[in-house]
Amino acid sequence: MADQPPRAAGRTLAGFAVFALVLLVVVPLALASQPYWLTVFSNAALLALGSLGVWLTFSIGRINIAQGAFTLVGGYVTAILATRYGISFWVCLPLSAAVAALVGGLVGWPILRLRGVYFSMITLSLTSTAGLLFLNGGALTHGAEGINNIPRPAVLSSNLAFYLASAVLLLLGTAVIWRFAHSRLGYVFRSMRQNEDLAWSLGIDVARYRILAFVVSSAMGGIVGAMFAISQQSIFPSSYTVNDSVTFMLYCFLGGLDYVAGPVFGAFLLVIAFQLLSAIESYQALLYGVFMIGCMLLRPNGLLSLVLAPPGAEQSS
Amino acid sequence: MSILAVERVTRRFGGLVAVNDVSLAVEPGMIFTVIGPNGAGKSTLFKVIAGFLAPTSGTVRFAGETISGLKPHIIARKGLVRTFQETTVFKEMTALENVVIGHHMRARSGDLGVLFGLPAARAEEARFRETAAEILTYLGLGHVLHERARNLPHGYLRALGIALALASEPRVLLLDEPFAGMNPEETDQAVRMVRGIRDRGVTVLLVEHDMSAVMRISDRILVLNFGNRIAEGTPAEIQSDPAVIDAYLGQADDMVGL
Amino acid sequence: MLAVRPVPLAQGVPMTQALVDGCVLSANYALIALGITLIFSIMNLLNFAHGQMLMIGGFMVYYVYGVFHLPFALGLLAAALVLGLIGAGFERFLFRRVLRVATREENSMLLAVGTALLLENVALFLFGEKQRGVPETVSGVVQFAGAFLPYQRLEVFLVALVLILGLLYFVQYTRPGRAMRALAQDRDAARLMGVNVDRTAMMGFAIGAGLAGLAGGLLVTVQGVNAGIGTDISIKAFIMIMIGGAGVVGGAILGAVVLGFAESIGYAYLPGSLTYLLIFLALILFLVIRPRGIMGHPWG
Repeated sequence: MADQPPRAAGRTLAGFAVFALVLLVVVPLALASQPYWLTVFSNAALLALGSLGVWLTFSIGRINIAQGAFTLVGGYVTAILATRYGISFWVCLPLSAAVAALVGGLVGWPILRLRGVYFSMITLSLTSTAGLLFLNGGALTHGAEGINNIPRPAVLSSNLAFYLASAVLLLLGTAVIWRFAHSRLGYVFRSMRQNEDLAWSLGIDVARYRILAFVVSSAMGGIVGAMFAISQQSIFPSSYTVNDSVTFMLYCFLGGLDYVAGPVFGAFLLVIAFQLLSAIESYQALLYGVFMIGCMLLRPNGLLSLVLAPPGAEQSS
Repeated sequence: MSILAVERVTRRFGGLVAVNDVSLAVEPGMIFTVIGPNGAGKSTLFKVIAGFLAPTSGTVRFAGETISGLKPHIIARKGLVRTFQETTVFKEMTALENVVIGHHMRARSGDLGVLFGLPAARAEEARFRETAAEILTYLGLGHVLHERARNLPHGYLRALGIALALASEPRVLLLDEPFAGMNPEETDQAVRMVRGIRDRGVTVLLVEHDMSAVMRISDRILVLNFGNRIAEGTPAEIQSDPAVIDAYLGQADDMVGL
Repeated sequence: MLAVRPVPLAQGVPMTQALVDGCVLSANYALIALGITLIFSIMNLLNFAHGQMLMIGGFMVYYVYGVFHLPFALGLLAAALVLGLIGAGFERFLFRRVLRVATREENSMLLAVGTALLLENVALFLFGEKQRGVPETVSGVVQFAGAFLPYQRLEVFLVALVLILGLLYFVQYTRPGRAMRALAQDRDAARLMGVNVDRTAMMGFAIGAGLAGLAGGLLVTVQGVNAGIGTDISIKAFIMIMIGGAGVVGGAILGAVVLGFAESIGYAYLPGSLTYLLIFLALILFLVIRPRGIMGHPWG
């Protein structure tokens, strides 16, 4: 009786299998001959991956508007290592994640003590800081000109291959975040969001776990940055701005902060919707604003709350 | 040897001395109570013991080891666990999930094991769910295991708060005003619950101003007023102590409950 | 290794010039910081759209004074009124509702981010992407101690100073001002004391937004305006309240002075974008030591 209802666990596994099937089989079959749409889906998958990280920081009760900074870090790590030292992308990719994670840990240690709007304000500033840092990076980053001609590994040269790589990364990321959310660590994270003092008093090392969440989030941002760096083959200090950090956040809560699927759903919905309605694409940012306001007024728990019950409320039946 | 010893602890806030040179010693297996009128410094002393405030001077020892100045989660890990006033629990989680979190410091499997769902971690988690359900049932919450805390009535939340703390198998449990705002019937129930906890082998230190409950339950009582210790002894001694009666004079007699 | 191009040290700007610029900048920044602080303390809400509001105020003056050649003062008035109305509308139709039903503090903050996106893009649509400036309202320069002070900047400084003093007087000595302070301290107690909470909150939001509009209207005479400056201004506002401490009037002014002088001195002696990089890094280090800012209260 005390165990998690096996039905729910089974359903989640089935849901994940369907998601994997759609990403890895259905989408490639349907879009194999449409390189443009494959790129759209790659973008959606990568943005969803970055949002999943932001979602994890949300789960410990911190509104993280810094993900743009970490995509920038990841992108520059890959760009510098690949262009200057000719290092293989398959080494650059994990290194991008590692450097972003390291930066996340170093910066996170002081700023994660801040809560609420204070944390949001400083993370917002971090996105600007990262841009300025790379702007002033001298010969290493080439200032505003950025780094061009980033080599794309031959294996990923086709749109299909790049899409599949993005999809696999997204699936891995989703699995990791899902485990975080649904294991005891997820309980610990949620407990910190609800009452940090109480969590401390129960012997939970709140400081350590919030850095863990932020580091994982930053690493995911770094991976996204590395992938975009080889897809666009260039990176500039202005490649990711505050608006990008806000967009990552928007995907999360449009889908719903209570569900791991939330950021994935939000990212795919918005990215694809704007491609379909290309007539309104120029109003994208405006509509983001309207979505955000409408969402807060009408569906404060995200669009997925229309179809999913809130988690953690398993009724005894 | 006393399990918890407060030695000449003083805590100042700017010019205000909230706790002034207070000492106390709690023996294993006892129910020890700190009482005093509002603003007597009870809560400050409580926070100092649990590590949420550092003492300005003096030390707190737990099982002989100095713990003052340590972080709350380190102190909790040593076996000195606090509850909060009122009904502080994780409101958006079910009763069961709350108590599972209470097990956190007993967990032996590492974060990675938990993350990847290794067999040992899974077994541990199943065990935690079992004992969580057991503790909740013991405290009379067996029928609301999967109810969100937010939806539980007030009286249940207090029991849930205590269940949370019990889950960590403390050696000493610090209870912050467990009887506040209860009617006599609820108080009776809560008194039985606190006794039951002690009978499970947990030493209890409680801070309270409901005098009648305190007199029934405590083995030893310390009285604070304006941050100073004014008396200590058994309930009978406290009831007849002129300094205590003085301190409570001016308050309504029923508050004193003598 | 990081070969920062050796920019000639700002063409020998005298320190007095940096200090004079710092004064003008500080006064203007104080208007921004006071507006966002007013809204923060009354509504417990961080107005992410503050920079966008300032930008719209700048465009008001651009149209009224720059395009239609009406008096500058009228432009400022228009900026204050339009932003006041926007602020009141936001409070009445968006924030009041969300703050009332919100189960998480994130909700109101995300709503504020939404309003910022909305304002910025509406402005982009209405005003276009171009950088706009206005002719000087007063011409001439006064020179002293090696520093140049255009009358235009002097005017901006003086108007900002008058507005700051006016606001402080209003908050301290008038009835609605006292109601706002009561609200900031304890919403429930204020209600019990007979303060009309809804109306006071709406007025507070309107005044805070109006101050942003005025600051924008003043700034456009010095720096010009374009639809994209909002986020940068908001970030500056955040830096100021992080330095001073959120929700404290004295902290807002202190934060404005620190940032104003740091910026003017930095721009005088460092290559452009390095100034803000250093300001950000210093801010992070500062928050390690004082997470609540210089004058901030503990939160929660």
